[in-house]
Amino acid sequence: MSHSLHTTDAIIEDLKRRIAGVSLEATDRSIGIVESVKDGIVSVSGLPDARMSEMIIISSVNGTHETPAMILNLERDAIGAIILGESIHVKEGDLVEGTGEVLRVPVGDALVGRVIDPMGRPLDGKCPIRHEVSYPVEHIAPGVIARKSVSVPLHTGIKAIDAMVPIGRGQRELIIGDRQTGKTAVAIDAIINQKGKGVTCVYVAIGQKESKIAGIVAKLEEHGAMAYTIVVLAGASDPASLSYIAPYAGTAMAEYMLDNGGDVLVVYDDLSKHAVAYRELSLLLRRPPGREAYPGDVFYLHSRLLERACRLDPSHGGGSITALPIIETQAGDVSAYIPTNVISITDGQIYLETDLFHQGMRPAINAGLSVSRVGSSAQTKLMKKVAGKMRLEAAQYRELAAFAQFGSDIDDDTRTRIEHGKRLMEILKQDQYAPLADEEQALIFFALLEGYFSDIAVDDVRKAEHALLSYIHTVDADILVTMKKEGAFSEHIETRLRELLKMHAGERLEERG
Amino acid sequence: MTRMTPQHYAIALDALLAERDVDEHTSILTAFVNVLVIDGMTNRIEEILSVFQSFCDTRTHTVSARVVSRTPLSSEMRTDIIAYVKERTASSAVRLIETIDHDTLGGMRLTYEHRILDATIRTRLNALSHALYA
Repeated sequence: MSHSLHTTDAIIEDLKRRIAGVSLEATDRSIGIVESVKDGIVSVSGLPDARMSEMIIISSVNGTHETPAMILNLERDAIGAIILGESIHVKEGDLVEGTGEVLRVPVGDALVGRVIDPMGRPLDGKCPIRHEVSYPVEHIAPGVIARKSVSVPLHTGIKAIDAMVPIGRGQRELIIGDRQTGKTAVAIDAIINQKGKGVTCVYVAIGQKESKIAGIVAKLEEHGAMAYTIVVLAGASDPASLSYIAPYAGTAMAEYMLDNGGDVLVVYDDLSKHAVAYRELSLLLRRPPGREAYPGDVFYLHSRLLERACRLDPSHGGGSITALPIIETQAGDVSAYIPTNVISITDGQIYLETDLFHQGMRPAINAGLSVSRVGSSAQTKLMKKVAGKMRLEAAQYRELAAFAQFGSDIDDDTRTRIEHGKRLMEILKQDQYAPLADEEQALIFFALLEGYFSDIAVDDVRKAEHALLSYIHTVDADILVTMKKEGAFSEHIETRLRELLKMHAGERLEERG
Repeated sequence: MTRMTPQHYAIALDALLAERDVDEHTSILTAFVNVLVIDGMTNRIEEILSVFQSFCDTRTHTVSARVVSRTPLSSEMRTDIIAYVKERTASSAVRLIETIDHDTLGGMRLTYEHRILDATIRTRLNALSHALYA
C-alpha cells in the first residue's frame, strides 16, 4: 500500500512539474507560407527571422501533418529548404514555422544497438527511442588546444592494417577503392574487433541498399557487435536530404560519447554517395555548379565533417572519435575530384585494388600505396618491433617481384627474399569476420621473421598459420596473456616463443615424415 | 508552352486595368472572364482574385488580417484588432477577414502578413498535452 502511495505521489509530483513548466501565454511568432514544393525542395515566403541551417516545421493546413525541413538558401524574396523526409504531405499554402535552432538529433546510450534514420527515428521495428539529450548536427570541431596527438592504437584486427598502416584513436583513415574490393568488409571487421575494448561504434550508411545493411546488421548481431554499435541509415530509396545530413547526424551521436570521455569509431559508408546527394540538392537549389557539377563548397562538405574526429586532451575529457570514411573510385582513379579532396583531408588512406582482390589477395590492400600519417605512434611496442621489419621486407619484395617472373637469372639472396616475400603476402591474407588480437598478430609476424614459414609451401602458409595459433592456444596460452600484459617483446618472451616455434616445427616434421 | 498559373492571370489583369481608363474596366473584366472559361481556369478564380487582391493591397498599403475564433467578434474587439495590426505593420488600412471555427474552443488566432498571434484554447491545450506526454 505504501509503495503504491509513493508511486502515486511521484506521478502526481511529475505531472505538477510538467504542468507548471508549460507556458499558457498567447504565442506571437513569425510564419512562412509554402510557395512551391518539388523534388524535395520547398520554397517559402515570409519567415523574416529565418537563419541559415535553421530547422523549420511545415504544417499542413488542417494541422494533421508536420514535416521537418532545413533552410539551405536565403534569398531576398524566398527561402529554399530541403525536406527531411517524405514530401508527400507538403503542399503549396502550408504554414511554415521556424524553430530558432539548427537541426538537432537525439543522442545518448539509448541509441546503441539500434538501427535509426538520420533524424533518430528507429528503423529496426523495436520500441521507440526515449532520449533526453539532443545535439546539433553541425558543430564546430575542437580547437588545437583541446586536442592531444594520436598515440593510442585502434586495432582493426586485420594484420595488413595493424602492421603496415596502423590506425590510432582520433585518426582519420580513408578506405578507398573500386566497387566490390572489400571496403565495407574492412570497416565491419574493424567494428567487430572493438568488442570488449570500450569503443562505441557508429556505422553511417549513406545511399546504400537496404538489403546490404540488413546483412551487415545481421553479421554484427552474430558477432555481438550490435551491443556497442549504432547504425545510422539513409538508404538508396531515401531522399537526398537524409543522405546529406546522415554523416553529420552520426558524428553528433559520436560527439555525445566523446563529451562523456568515451572512444568512438565512426564509419562513413560512403562519402562518394554523400557528395552526389549534396550535388543533387545544390543543383535543385539552383546553386552554381562547379567542377563535375559539384557545388563550390564540396570540399568544405567533407572537411568540416572529418575535422570533428579528434583525440581530446585529458583536461577536455580525454575521449576520441576515430573516423573511417570510405570513398569509391571509378576504374582505380584516385586522382578524381572527390577522392583527391578526401585524401587531402584525412590522415592516411588504405587503398584496395581490384587486381589484388581477383588474384586472391584479400583484404586487397596495396601496402605500397597505403599510408598512415600517424604511423608507428599508433602501434604497441609489441607490434612496432615486428612491423618495422615487415614493412621493409614487403617493400623489398614489391621491388623484386618483377624479377620473380624471370626466375632464371637471380642470385640466391634475391631468390630467398622473393620466397620470403611470397610467404609474407600469404600471411597478410585474412578471412573476413576473423579479426586477430594484437598479440596473436605479433606472434605470427615474429614467427615469420624467425623463418618459421620458410620451409612451408606458399599455398600451405595460411593453414600453417592457423595451426600455429591453435597450437599456442593449446600448449601455452599464457604466453599470449603475458605478451598482452607486458606489451613488448622481452627477452624471456622471445626465448619462450622460439622454444614453442621449434617444438611445433618438430611436430610438424614428424607428422609429415 | 509554359503553364499559366493563377499568379500569371492576376498579373495580366492588374496590368490591363492599370493601363486603361476606368470606363473600360467593365469590358476588360468581361473579356477576362471569357479567357478564364476558354482556358478552363474558372475553378481557380478564388486563387486568382487572392493574388490580385494582394497587388491592390500593396498599392494601397492595406494589410489583410484573418481572425479565427469560436464566436463572432464584437465591434470593440474588431476595433482593437485593427489598431493592433495597424501599429505593427505601419499600414494605412486593415482588411479583417473573420472565420468561425468551433475547434478553437475559445480565444482567437490572428494571422497578418507573416505573423501569427495564437491565443486559442485549443493551442494551449495542445501545448499542455505535449508537455504531459513528453
